[in-house]
Amino acid sequence: MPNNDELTNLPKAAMTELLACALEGEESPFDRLAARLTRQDGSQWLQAQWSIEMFEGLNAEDWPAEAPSKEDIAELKKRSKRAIRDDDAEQQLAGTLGYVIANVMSLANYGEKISNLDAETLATQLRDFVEVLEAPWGDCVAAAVKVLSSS
Amino acid sequence: MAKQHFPLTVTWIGRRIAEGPEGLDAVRQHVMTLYYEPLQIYFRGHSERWKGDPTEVVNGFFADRMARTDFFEKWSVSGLRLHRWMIGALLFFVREEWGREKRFRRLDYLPEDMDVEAAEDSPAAIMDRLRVRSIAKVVLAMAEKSCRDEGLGVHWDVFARHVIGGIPYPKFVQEEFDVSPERAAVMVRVPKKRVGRALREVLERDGVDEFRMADEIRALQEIMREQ
Repeated sequence: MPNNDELTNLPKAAMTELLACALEGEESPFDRLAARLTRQDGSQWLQAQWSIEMFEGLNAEDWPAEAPSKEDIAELKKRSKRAIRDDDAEQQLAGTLGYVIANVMSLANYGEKISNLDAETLATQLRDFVEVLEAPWGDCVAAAVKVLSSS
Repeated sequence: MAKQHFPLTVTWIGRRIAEGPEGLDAVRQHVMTLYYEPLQIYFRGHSERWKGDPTEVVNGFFADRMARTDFFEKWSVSGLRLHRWMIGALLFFVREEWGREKRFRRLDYLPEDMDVEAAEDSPAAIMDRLRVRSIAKVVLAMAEKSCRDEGLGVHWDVFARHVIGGIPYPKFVQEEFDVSPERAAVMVRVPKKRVGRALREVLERDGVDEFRMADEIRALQEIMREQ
C-alpha cells in the first residue's frame, strides 16, 4: 500500500476519537459560555458583564457573599431568557451567564430548582462551571450541583 | 453494500447543482478537496498504475469529468456511494485515455493489461480507508478554523494535543497552558463538538442523508478498527 504523509500521519486512535466526536451531540449555549469563560480574557469578560443592562440594579456581583432574594433571582432569570432569545451572540452569552447564576443561586440558597431542565441534565450542564467560574462562584456552583445530585 | 438510489434533489450535491453554476462549483470543490489525494493513492496501488503517473492521471480526470455538467446526475442515477462512483469513473477515464493514447501513437500492439502486482487489500477497502482519512483532514481544517475565528485557538490547541496527539491532560496542560486538567476537559468540549458538526456536514456533502448519518459514522469507525 503506497504511503502518503498527508493522509496517513494521524494515528488510528486519533482517527477513532475524531469519529466519536460526531456522537457528542450539538453545541449548547452552556458549552459556548464555558468556552467564552475559559478564553484568556475570560475573567475580564466576566467582570464586564456585571455592568451590562441585564444585571442592572441586582448587585449580582455580590450574591455569593449576600444571598439574593427569590424575587431578584426570578427577575434575573426573566431577563436572562430574554437575552438568550436575542439574535446577537454576545447577548446570548450574557443571557446564558445570567441563567446559570440565577439557577445556581436558587439551588445553593433555597434548594429550589427553577429550571425546566430535569435535575440530571441541569447538573451535567452546571458541573462544568465549577471549574470554569472563578472564586467565589465556583463554590456556589458546586453547592448547587450537590443539591441537584441529592434530589 | 447494496446499491441505493439517491434522488439528486434531496442530496447536498443535488441542492447545490439546482442553484446553478456557483452551486456546481461548490460541488466540484468538495469532491476535489476530498478525493484528490485518495484517488492518487488508490491509483498508485492499482494494477493499472503503469498506464500513467497518479498525479497527472487524477489531474486529467478532474479536469475532464468536473467540466461535464451531467457527471453528478449520472452518479445519482448509478445508486452508488459517491466514493465508489469516483473510483469507477477514474478507472473508466484511465482506460478511455489509454485507448486514445494507443490510437494516437499507433501502439495497438500494447496490451490492455500488464502483469503488475496490485495492492494486497481489495481496491474498495483501500479507498474506504483513504476516504475516512481524507474526510478527517478536511473536518479538522474546518473545525480548527471555526474555533480560531472565534478566539478559541487555545481551546483548539489543547484539543489537538489531547485528542489528536493522544497525550493525557495531566502530562501537559498545566505546564503548557497553565490550566488544570479539569478545566482543560471543559475547554475541549467546543472543539469536539465543532469536529462533530464538521464531520456531519462533510458526510452530508458526500451524499449521506441525515437519517443514515449515525450508521455511516459507525461504518467509518468499523473501517478504522479493521485497518
